[in-house]
Amino acid sequence: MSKYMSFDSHAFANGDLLLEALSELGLTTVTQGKELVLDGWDKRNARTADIIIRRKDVTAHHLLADIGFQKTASGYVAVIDDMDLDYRLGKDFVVRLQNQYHEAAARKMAKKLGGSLVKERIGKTIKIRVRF
Amino acid sequence: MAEIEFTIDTEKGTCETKINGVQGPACEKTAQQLKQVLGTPTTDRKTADYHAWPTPKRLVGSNE
Repeated sequence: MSKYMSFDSHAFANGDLLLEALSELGLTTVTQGKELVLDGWDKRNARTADIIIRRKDVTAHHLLADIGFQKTASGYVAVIDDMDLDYRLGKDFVVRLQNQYHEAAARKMAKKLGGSLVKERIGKTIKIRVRF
Repeated sequence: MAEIEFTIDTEKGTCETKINGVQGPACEKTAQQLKQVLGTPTTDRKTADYHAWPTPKRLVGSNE
């Protein structure tokens, strides 16, 4: 072993991988821009984001508000209505998205390094080995 | 063979990575590529192998 790193942040560093992770969760229609206003939020507490899943584009979830991801210095941070997390998307939505994001990151590294990828699930842990 | 091992905790949404079999500057380059996709790590630790020098090839025979 030569180097160990751990990643616990709730920020998504790479926009393309975030889109890939959202797609894996079935959220394929995405609006992108700069500081776009999120629909469904109280006007006194208006929120903006740079990557948005419009609630009108995911009617199956009956969302109360748009799902947003605001670009910050550390990456994209989720802006999601608490009620949507509690009753529509599930409280573990961001964790599921992070898991998909990490898998997408492993795929990207395998491609970048011209390597092979082996995925194994052990209980609640996913092990991915990228050999190059 | 060089390897990156990703360990994803699906309950917490966290990810640990280990770069195996890559020494010195080449390891740092791979780590930088990882940081580009995963962001700033909370833990970043070099292990003993990081500082290991590649074993020089032994010459067999004599030049005399």
